Formats: sequence, structure tokens, C-alpha cells
Amino acid sequence: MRRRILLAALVIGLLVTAGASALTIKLGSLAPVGSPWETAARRMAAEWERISGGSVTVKLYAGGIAGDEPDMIRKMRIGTLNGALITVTGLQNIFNGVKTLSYPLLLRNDAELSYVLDRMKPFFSQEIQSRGFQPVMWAPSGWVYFFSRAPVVAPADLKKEKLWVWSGDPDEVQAYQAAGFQTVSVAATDLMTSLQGGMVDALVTSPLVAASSQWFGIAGNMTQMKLAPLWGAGVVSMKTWSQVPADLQPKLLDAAQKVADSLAPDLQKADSQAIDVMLKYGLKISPVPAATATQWADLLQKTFAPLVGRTYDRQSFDMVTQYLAEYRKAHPGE
Amino acid sequence: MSRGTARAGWGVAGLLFAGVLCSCSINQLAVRTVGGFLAGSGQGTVFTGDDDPELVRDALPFAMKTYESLLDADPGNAPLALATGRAFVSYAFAFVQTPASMLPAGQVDEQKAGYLRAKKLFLRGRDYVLQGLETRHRGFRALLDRNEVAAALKLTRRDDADYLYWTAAAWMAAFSADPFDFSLIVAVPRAVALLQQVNAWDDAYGAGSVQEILISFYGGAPADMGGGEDKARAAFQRAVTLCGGRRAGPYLALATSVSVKNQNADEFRDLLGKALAIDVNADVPDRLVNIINQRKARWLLEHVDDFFLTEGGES
Repeated sequence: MRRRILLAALVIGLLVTAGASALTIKLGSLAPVGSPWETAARRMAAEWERISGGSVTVKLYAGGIAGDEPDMIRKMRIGTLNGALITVTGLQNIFNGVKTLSYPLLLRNDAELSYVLDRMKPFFSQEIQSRGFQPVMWAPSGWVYFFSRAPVVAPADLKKEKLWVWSGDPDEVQAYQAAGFQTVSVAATDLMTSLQGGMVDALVTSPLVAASSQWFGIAGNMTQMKLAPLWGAGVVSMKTWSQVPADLQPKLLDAAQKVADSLAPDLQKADSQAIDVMLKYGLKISPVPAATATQWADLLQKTFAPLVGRTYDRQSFDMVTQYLAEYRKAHPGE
Repeated sequence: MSRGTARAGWGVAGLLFAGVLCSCSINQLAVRTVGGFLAGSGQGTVFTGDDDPELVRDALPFAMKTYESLLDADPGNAPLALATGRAFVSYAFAFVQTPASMLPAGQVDEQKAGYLRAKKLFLRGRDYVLQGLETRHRGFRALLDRNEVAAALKLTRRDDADYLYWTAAAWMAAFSADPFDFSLIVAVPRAVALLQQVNAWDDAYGAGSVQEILISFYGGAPADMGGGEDKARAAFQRAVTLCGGRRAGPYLALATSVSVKNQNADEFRDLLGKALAIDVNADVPDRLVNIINQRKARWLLEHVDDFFLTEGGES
């Protein structure tokens, strides 16, 4: 009798297992194949599959084959795509408060970014969830700097250069222009041609992107001033996330964030290698003296302040500045 | 020491010296002979015409080390340097990079290790070919390292085509194995310039070998770095014409670059179907590479939904 019960339990167990439907999450990303971000996404996919015992699998569509970031967000809304690793530029299409962390010269270093981001995560998550997406990881990705044809140390140097503004945000373009900068808006795919043809002289980007796109071959001067952090997040549509068993959700979130955290050293190494290679091929780095850094801070503060409440969500901005003040008070002299 | 003994001593020394000279010459002659044979055999079909990839996979490392030993003894032997480099590049492509590319998606670290090993072998192969080029044209390597490509190419002649082709092939293959190695990213235009020089000398070189590499480059690189779909398709048409449609490589190159980029799964299947329809026994010199490429084509077709978002229906 006991053997029969055991056999029945085994059969039922097998039937339940066979009947459980596996969830496949289609995840898009602009990250090129072979890049640290793509590798991290694949590690996350492998971890999720392992933790879920194969009931949650991830198919990664990297290198932009799932479209650009606004396109991926649209596809997630209609269900063609289930998730995406996106930069803050794409993420602001879901909730523009996230852009506050990239406000020029607001955050100064990784420690400040880490402190503020950790405290902003619950608020950002709530806002993003209310718009139909579950953030699964937050990934800082280095810093952006000015790269220019002629050396740029002070704001007056940059005003002589034609500055490429990618965002396409008319408010941002107007703000730069009001501050006396000459701005040019062209598609990223036309940037090299514009640099070669003299339509564009300067841009804001990370060393890794400047090297891999070879823009530094023309904009061969880098201003040694961290302008803003570059960061991104992984999101999954709530419709898909709700299909992940509740007991698995925290485990998957934890695994994803661990992978994102392990990415930081790889990216720092990649940025540093990129700078080494660019230096070998003629990049010149212009240091910015402390007094000039203050000039930059004053000017960019005046330039971007009118955008708070429009391009930069007011509530997010106030929270970020409050946490930043808190951090600086606890770490004077940093 | 008596005069007689001294004379005898010089005589022995002389004999020894002559013997050393003689053995050196014999060794050198032997090295040159074997090296010449091996360098020549690289042109044959002993490896490339085989129909058993596993046999070649197991045999090539011994051949590669033999090449290296001979080259070590005769470093100025340019044809041997070329053959050595070619063996390393071929082995890395067929038996390291390609198998790594077909590992299950979850084997992230194993795949990365495979790609990095392939990159090392490609660069080792490139350096051997450059050693041969340097023997033929002193100063070539330094000019190339300084990014003075035009000046470097001015040193070369039409009969350097094999050297330029294999240098470029190795360099671009290394880049494909590790596309985030910045020292390789900045070198890509140099590799393309070498290929274009070969193409300028002979646009039918290697029955479309140059075009075959350019399909992937044009199909994958952004427009502002010299890429473009039209260029990729033109290179594809020319490659297929030149090889008479008997090589699977051009079909795979277009399918995995342009078709994937355009998310055109129908074209992807069509191209891979054509690659699989090739009779591998019809063209002995390309038999091995066609067999390996057909294995890859089958794998790609089995994993089509890994490359096309809309395959398998909406979620």
C-alpha cells in the first residue's frame, strides 16, 4: 500500500512538473555583442535559469536588433519584447525622474552616485512599477566627459566649439544656447560624418564609447572633468514579471543586482584601457584647475536650473539634492 | 705541447669547426627543405581538402608546433612564416572560435575563454605573417604600428598579396573574437586597408576570399566606420560569383550580419539553405571549410529564435 502511495505521488509530481509552463523572457539591449554589458546580461540569464531550475529562461537580443531604446519600450508595452537593458536616456521615457542623477556636475564621484542611487531606488522602482515595468537591476556605467577638436579647459573654450547635443530635447538645446554654447543636433549615426565635415567639434560621451566609435580620432581632446554619471537599468514588463512565481522574484532580483554590481570593475577597467589606447593614438587630456571647475559648476547650474520641473522631475531632483547634501555632510572634504 | 701535437690539435679543431659548419649547413639545409615542403604543402589540400574535421583538429596542433620549430631555426624564411601564420589562423577559426560560438547560451565563461583563446591564436598567426612581411620588406611592421598604412603599403608588391590577406584576416578575426579590445578596434581600419590593397591588385583574389571578409565587416560596422548594407550585398554578390556559389562562407556572412541586423528571418533561412545545399565534395580545396561552415549553418537554423525577436510568436 505504502509503495502504491509513493508511486502515485511520484506520478503526480511528474505530471505537475510536465504541466508547469516555463517562462521565456525576451530581453533587448543596445549593448554590442562581446561588450561588458552584454556579458553581464548573459550572466544574469544563466543565473535566472539556474535559480529557477529552468522555469525562467532569458533570450537576449543584443546589439540593437530589438530596436533602439524608445522602440524597445514600445515593444515591451505591446508584448513583443518582455524586458530590456536600457541607459538612463531610454529609462527617462518611462519615468523622467531618473534623469536627475545625470544632471551635469551634480554628482562628483562613484561614492556619491552609489549613496544617492541606493536611496533613490525605492522611489524610482515605485514610479517605474506604476508605469508598468519592474526594475530588475541598476547598473552604473562610468562617467561622461567633454571630447572636443580643440582643447577645452574653461567654459569659454567650449563656447568656440560646435557642441553635439544628442538628446533631441528642445529644452536642453535651448538651455545650452541660452548659456552661449553653439549646439548641433544630428543623429548618432551621422556623428562621425559631422565631425569629419566640421559640422560638429565637441560632444559629451564616455571614454569607452569615444574609443569604440573612434570619434576621438577627430575630437581628440578630453576635458578631465566628470560631467555626469552614465548608468542604466534592466526592466521587465509587469505583465511578464507577474508570471514569475512570487517566491522566485526576490531571488531573481538579488541575482540580477549581484551581476550588475560585479560589472563596475569590468567597466572601470574598460574605460581605463580605452583611455590608454586613445592616448597612444594621440588623445590629449586637459586637466581642469579647481577655480575653473567652479566656473563650470556655476555656469551649468545657471544653464540647467530652469529645466528642473520640466526635463528634470522636481520631486526626484529635490530628493537627490537632499541625499547628496546628507552624504557630503557625513563626508566633508571628499 | 709539441709542434706536432699542436698541429694535430688545430687539425682536430679544424675538423671539428668544419664539422660544426657542415652540420650547421646540413641543419639549415634540412630546415629549409622541410620548411619549404611544409610551406608549399600549405597551398595543397592535405588539410583543407579533408572530409574529417576531427582528424584535422587533432592533427593541426602538431603541424603548427612543427612549423614553429622550423621557423625558430630559420626565422628569415618568409614563406614558412606565412604558412605558420596561416595554420594558426585556420586552426583558431575552425576549431576554437567556431565551436565556442555554438556553446549553449548559459556557458558564458566557457565561451568567453574560447573566444579569448581564439584571439590569442589569431594574433600569434598575424605576428608570424608579419614576420614574413618584415623579412620581405624591412620596416613594414614599424610603419604599420605607427599607423602609417599608406607608407607601409608602398613597400609592398603584388606578390605580397598572400601576406597582406592573411595579416588582415588574422587581425579582423581577432577583433571579431574580442570586439571590446580597444587596441584591436583602432586597428580595424588598417586591416581593411590591407584587404583593399589586395583587392586593388586582384579583385578575384582567392576566388572571393577578400569579399568574404568584407561582407561581415560592411554588414556589421556602422556607416560612419565604413559599414553599409549596400556594400555588404555588393561584396556578397561578387564573392558568390567568384567562387561559383561553391562556398558556404559568403551565405553565412550575409545571413549573420545583414539579415540579423534587418531582422529578416526569411532571408536568413534562405541564405543558410543555400549554404547547406552546396555539395562539399564538388570542390576539394574548400571541402573542410565548407563542412565546418555547414555545421554552423545547421546550428544557426536550429537556433533561429535566438537571433530573431519575432520568431516563436509574441510573448
